Formats: sequence, C-alpha cells, structure tokens
Amino acid sequence: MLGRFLIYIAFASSLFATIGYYLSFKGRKSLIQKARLSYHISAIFVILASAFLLYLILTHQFQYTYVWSYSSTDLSTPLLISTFYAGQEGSFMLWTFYTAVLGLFLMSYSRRNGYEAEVMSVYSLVKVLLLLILVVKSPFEYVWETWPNQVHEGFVPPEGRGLNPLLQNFWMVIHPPIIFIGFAAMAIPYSHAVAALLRREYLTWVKPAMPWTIFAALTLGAGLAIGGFWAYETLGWGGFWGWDPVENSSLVPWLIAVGTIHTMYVQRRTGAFARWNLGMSILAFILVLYSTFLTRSGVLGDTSVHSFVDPGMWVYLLLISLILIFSFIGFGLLFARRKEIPKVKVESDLLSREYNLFLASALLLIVAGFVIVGTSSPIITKILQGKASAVDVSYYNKTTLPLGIIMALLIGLAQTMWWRRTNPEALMKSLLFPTAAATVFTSILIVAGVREVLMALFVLTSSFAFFVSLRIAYKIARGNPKYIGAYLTHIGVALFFLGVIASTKYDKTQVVSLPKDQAINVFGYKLTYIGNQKIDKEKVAYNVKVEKDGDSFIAPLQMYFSEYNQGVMRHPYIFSLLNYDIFSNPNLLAFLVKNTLTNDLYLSPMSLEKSGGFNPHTTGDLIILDKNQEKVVGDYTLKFIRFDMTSEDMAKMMSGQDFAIGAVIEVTYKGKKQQVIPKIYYRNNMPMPEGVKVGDKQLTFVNLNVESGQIAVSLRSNGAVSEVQGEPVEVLVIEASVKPFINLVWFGVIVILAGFVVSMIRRISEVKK
Amino acid sequence: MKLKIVVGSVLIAGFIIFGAYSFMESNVKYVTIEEAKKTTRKVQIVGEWVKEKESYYDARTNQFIFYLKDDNGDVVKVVHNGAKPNNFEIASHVVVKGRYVDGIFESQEILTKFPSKYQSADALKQYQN
Repeated sequence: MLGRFLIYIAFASSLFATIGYYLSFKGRKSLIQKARLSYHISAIFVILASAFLLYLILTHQFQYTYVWSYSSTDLSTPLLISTFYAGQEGSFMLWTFYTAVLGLFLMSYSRRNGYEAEVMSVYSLVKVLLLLILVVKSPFEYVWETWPNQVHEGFVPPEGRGLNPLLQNFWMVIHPPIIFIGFAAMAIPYSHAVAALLRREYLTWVKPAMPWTIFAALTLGAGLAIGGFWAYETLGWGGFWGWDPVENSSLVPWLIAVGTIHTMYVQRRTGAFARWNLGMSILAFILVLYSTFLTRSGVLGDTSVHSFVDPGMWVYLLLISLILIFSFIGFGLLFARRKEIPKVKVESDLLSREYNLFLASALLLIVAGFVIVGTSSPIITKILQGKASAVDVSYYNKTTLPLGIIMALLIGLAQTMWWRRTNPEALMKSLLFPTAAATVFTSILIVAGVREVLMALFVLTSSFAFFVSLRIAYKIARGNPKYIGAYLTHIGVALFFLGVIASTKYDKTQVVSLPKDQAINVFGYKLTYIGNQKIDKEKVAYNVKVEKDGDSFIAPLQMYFSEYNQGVMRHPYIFSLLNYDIFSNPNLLAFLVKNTLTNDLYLSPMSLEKSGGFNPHTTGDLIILDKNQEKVVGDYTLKFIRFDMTSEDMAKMMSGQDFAIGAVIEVTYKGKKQQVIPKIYYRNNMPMPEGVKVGDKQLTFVNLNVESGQIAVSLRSNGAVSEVQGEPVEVLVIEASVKPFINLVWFGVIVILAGFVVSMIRRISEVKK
Repeated sequence: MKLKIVVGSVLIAGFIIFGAYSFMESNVKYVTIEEAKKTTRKVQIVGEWVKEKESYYDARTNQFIFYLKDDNGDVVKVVHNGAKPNNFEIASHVVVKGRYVDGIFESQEILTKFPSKYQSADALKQYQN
C-alpha cells in the first residue's frame, strides 16, 4: 500500500507543479514559489518510491508481483539491485527517478538563466505522464491483485522466480541505469525548444540548451555502447550490433540529438537554422517516446528475437497519448509560430562551414529515418499487407553503408571548412596531406585483401576523416585543448568505422569438433577440450584449453538447461578486453595482451556429441512405436512394452542430475523373440542414446513421449558402426571465430564519448559567461 | 538558390526511392509452405515442430534438421544452418526464415515463440496447497 501511496502523492504534486509553473508563466508570478515546492515534493516522493522498491527487492518481499517476477534469494547484491529495472514497471520507475532528479538540476539552471517557469512547466508535464504510467502499471502490485482468483490474499511466496540468466551480467547491471539517464535527459532539449516557442525567444535559446543536448547524447551514447558490449559478450550474437528493435529505438533519438548539436553550433554563431533546431530538438524526444511505444507496447509482437510482453490496453493507450500530447505541444507550437521565427540568411556557399554542418545534421536525420522505418516495418507491413513482418537485417546494412561512406567524407571535408566561405586554394592545401595519407592507407589494404568496391570506398573516406581530424586535433592540443572535443569525437567516429569494417566484414568463422583430450588447430590456436564440470546448480562449463606460442588459457564455455528460460542456453567465451573475467583472473589479461590485441577469439559451444555412439545422420527416418502395438519393419517386428527407469534414476531426474531412461522392446526376428532395453543417457540435459544389437541391426531409442506412451526408435544396419568399439569419446562441437581489430570499435566508442565530455564542459563554461 | 532546391529535392527523392526499394527487397514475407515452394525469394514460415519425425544436429556440417508443419497441415523438411536454437523444445511456434530449394527449406534464421506463461500464476501454485 505504501508504495502506491508514494506514487499517488508524487503524481498529484507534479501535476500541481506543472499547473503552477504554467500559470506563473501566464502572469501569476506569485505561484512560482508553490510550483517549486510542489516539484520538490514530487521529486522527493519519486525518490522515496524508488528507495522503497529497492528495499522490497533487497529484503525479498515476494508478495509483490514485481519482486517475485524478477528476483530470488540466491542472487548477489549487484544482481539483486539490477532486478529493479529488469521488468517494465521497474524501468519506468527508473526513468521517472532520473527525470525527477535531473529536474532539480534543471530548475536551478533555468532559474539562473531566467526561464524557469516556461521550461519547468513543460518538463514537469513529462514527469506527470511518466507517473501516470506508474499509477496504471504499478511495481507495487501484490500477487493476489495480479491473479485475484488464483492466489489468496496475504500469501507470501517463499521464493521468487529469479532473474533471466541472460541478464545476469556485469554490463547488464550498468546498462539500464545509464541509458535511462539519456532517455530522461532528452526531455530537456525538448523543454528548451518548447519554452523558446512559448517565450518567442527563438535565437538565444540554443546557448543554454546545448550543454543539455550534448549531455543527453553522451549518456544515451554511453548506454548504447554498453548495450553493444553486452550483446557481444553475453548474447552470443557474434557481434556488437544486431539491428534489433530495442537497440534501434535508442539509436534513432541519439542520431537526431547528434544532428541537432551540429546545427545548434551554427545557430549559436550566426543565428541560422532556428526552425530546424526547434524541430530537431522536439523530434528527438518524440522519437524517445515512439521508441518506447514500439518496444514496450507489444506492437512488434512476434517479429523479433526479443519477446515483447504485452503490457495491457491501458499502457498501450497511455504510450500512444504520450506521443500525441508531446507532438501536439511541440510541433503544434512550432507550426503556429512558424511565420514569426526570424529567418537569418544562411551562407549558401557550398564551401562554407555552416552549409556543411547543416548537411551533417540532415544526413544524420536521413540515417535515423531509414532505421526508424525499418524498425517500424511490422506496423507498416501490417497496414499495407495486413500481416506484420519485419525487414531483414540486410536492409539496415544496405541502406546505412552508402550513408556511412558519405558521412565519413563529410566529416573530413566539413572540419577543414571556414565560416562563411573557404578559400578553395587553402582548402586544397589543407586537404593534401589527409588525402595522400588516406590513399596510401587504402591502397595497402586493397593489396592486403579488401576487394569490394564499397568497402574500399568506406575505408578511403573513413581514413580520410581520421587523418583530417587527427591533424586538426594535434594543432588544437598544442594550443588550447579545451576546444578539442569535436575533433576528438570525429577521430573516434573514424576509428569506429574502420573497426566496424574490419571486424564485421573480414571476420572468419569455423565449426570445429573437439574430441576429448585431442588438440585441434584452428586459426593458429591449439584447442583442446579437456572435460566439463558443474559451476552452480544448473550451469555447466565445458573447458577448452587454448594454446598459442607457449601460452595457454582454459576457457570455460557454458552450455546448460535454464529453468527460467526452459531451454538450452549457450554462453560463448570471448578472448576480448571486454571480458570482465580480467578483473578476477590476471592470467587472462596477460594472455589477451600477448595474443589477441588485434584479433578477438570467440568460442561458442554448439553441442556435446559422442563419437562411436549414436550418429543420427545415418539413421534415416525414425520409427514411431505406440505402447503394446506391433510394428513390422522389414524382417523385424517391434513392440514397445514399457519404459524402464530405476528409482535411483528417477530421483536423479527429479533433482536435475544426469540420468538414464530405457525402453523395453520386444523384437521378433527370423521367428526368434527377444526383449532388449536400449537406453538414452541424459548428460547435462543432452540426450545421448546408445543402441543395442538385434540380429544384424542396431536398435536405438531416440525420443520419447511419456504422456502418449510413444517412443521413437531407429533401426539401421550394423555394419556402419561395427568398426567403432570400446569406450565412446565425448566430442565438443564449437564455433570458433576471429574478429580482426574489434578493439578499434571499443576504442573508437570511448574516444567519441571522451570528445562529448570535453565539448560539454566547454559549452557549460560558455553558458556561465 | 533555385538550383540548390532542385538539387536538394532530387537528392531527397533519390533517398526515398532507394529506401523504399531496399525496404521492399528486404521485407521477408510470411507465407505458407505451399507458397514457399512456388517462389525462390527469401520468405518466412510459421509453424510447429513435428516432434514425431526425425530431428538432429549434424556437427560436421553445423546444420540442424527438423520437420515443420504449418497451419494448413503441410509438412516440410527444414535444414537450418546453425545449432539448435535455445528454447527450441518448449517453443509453441517456430518461425523459419530462408528459401525453399529442391524439396527442403534452407533456413538461415529460426525464431522461437513461447506460450505466454511468463508471469503466470502457475509458477506460484507450487507453494500453495
């Protein structure tokens, strides 16, 4: 009850704050004190509600549906904290928390700069509607409220359902807390734009809005990067980016925010692009809302690997109305005021910095457009074809590649341009070194094996961007390093592009079978499967010894049956600087630095097989036997009598250990009747059938259906396996791949973010002046 | 100034056409097995795993083979390039993406869909008498 009560008070007081601020803007100045007070109260109650939820999680109050759904008593404290935002209700809570806290900073900031009432009335409305979602979909619901007829009131489950093993990861603990700062922060440029429209103050607003826009891009960007680390490290996608709706939905607002920064820079200097900046700032936040709608409303339904939980009718409608309300306020005002926004003549010279910065902004908008159309494809196809279907990942690669090439070229060119007009001769002179360097670099790579035209072009423009940025950054670093932000970021972008090309286009993958204790050479590494062991109550590690140049390291590849996901989970082991095992295992770091700085090695477990045992490839079709019914197969008559399982095996099965189950089968061959019991051995939940000899054939029990009393067997000629005798050997099948220069991707990302930090500090200091 | 507008609109139109073309090209339609057999395009089929028929993972070729039955009751043999997906056993529905070639469906991607038993009260019942 307490949790809900806190949310209600926070909701009511933020509503007061919004109204108070708006009325004070409309002239009733005295109300601003009350509005401020209301905002503080609501922020305090949001913080209290969040603290309360955290308290419930840490003390395992499983009578709350949310706590029960995502946590359990066996989780470590960091993981337990991460269950706060493992579900929808908690992520909205986290978003609201950040919105409330950032609002406190925004309040004093805007008060200093003299537009508190306008900006806070808009910003506070965002909080009102987020709180409304929490009122409708509360994290403080009791289990007997969620399932009124099935669970009796006052019931406290002794244990929770636990956290999805995919989310039990260091990167996942820190990913949502960072990305939601970005989501919350995106409301601030929006509020500034709407406040500017309300105040009819179209030119000067970008100065105070700029640090916030950079802040939003920085935090959202950091969140995206960490999401990429997670995908690479844990999901086993084999890459850091899968163009998944959840990823795309954070990428799109980020692209818009980054585009806005470029033209805000021009407006600060010349006053041009006022309308564009207003529109883009509004759009960035609307896209945050639209993305939330796409990924939280269940509208994408069946079209993605992610399973999207349908949150129910009310949340669906609320999310839609959120988009409509804020679009109406933002774009409506922009449309109404469009005539009075002063039009500063833009320098139309192609060789001006203004014009090129605008092109950058427009290009980022176009990229965002392609991505959002692709992500919305289930909705678009549903409308056009009546049946929802998603676009293939190739759509994104196809559309973004040419834009990436242009973008890299533009990064190089625009940074050498002067304001107003560049002297063509001076331009030629400053481009000489980067062009030459990029040409040499690309030629070397073409000789080394880059053969595709588009890839070679992308390498050319990316390295061009790199050399241009590096040269300017070097000059600035010697003069005034405070101004290095933008150049640093662009160096990072160029490195990132090069890393993406190398690691995604020129990676190598091979499926290898590793018989136990037998070394196999793959990509210059010697791999030996040395056995497996249980690492906790369900996870099993398959240890592969990796050797190179005298160094060796034992990689635990995980493959296990997850109770939570009801299926086999496979965790790759990655020799990567992102592997956080380096904190606990100093040997790994030494091995990495020595062997994998330029090439990550990625080992994914696929399955555990047995040589000499059952090889289904040669079985042909399976024979289905019903209980007590004879079936004639060639010369053989088969009759399934009953299952055979010892009570010991039964107990093992119940406790999740390895066990065996047999099928008693009566075989009649050449007039002779005999009973045989072929068995299936389950090792780490992997079925491993072992056949028995009947006549001149091998009878293998392959599959079973206990309820219907059916089994599937195979009967194949004995000759195929007769030569393999003795103890069968375990064979671990893995997929090994090497990703060249993927560290450039991570390094590029870090440089990009560092550049954002430097720029943000500079713009903050300029506001204070 | 006029020239800039013309160049701008041509560029924008170009991007839109390029985008629309890529969109149509990459949009993988949901079809039935019968329809999949008639086209060489990449399609996707929703269906159920036929558990009675053979299904196995072949380590040598890294292929997972199983049979899929669609809503019309047609059955097709699926050869998937890759391991058996996580959660395959309990999936209520399976979506395969790929092409139908010479009697088999060559799948490049499998999505598994689950009965929405997440957050259901069933899991709670074990504690109640």
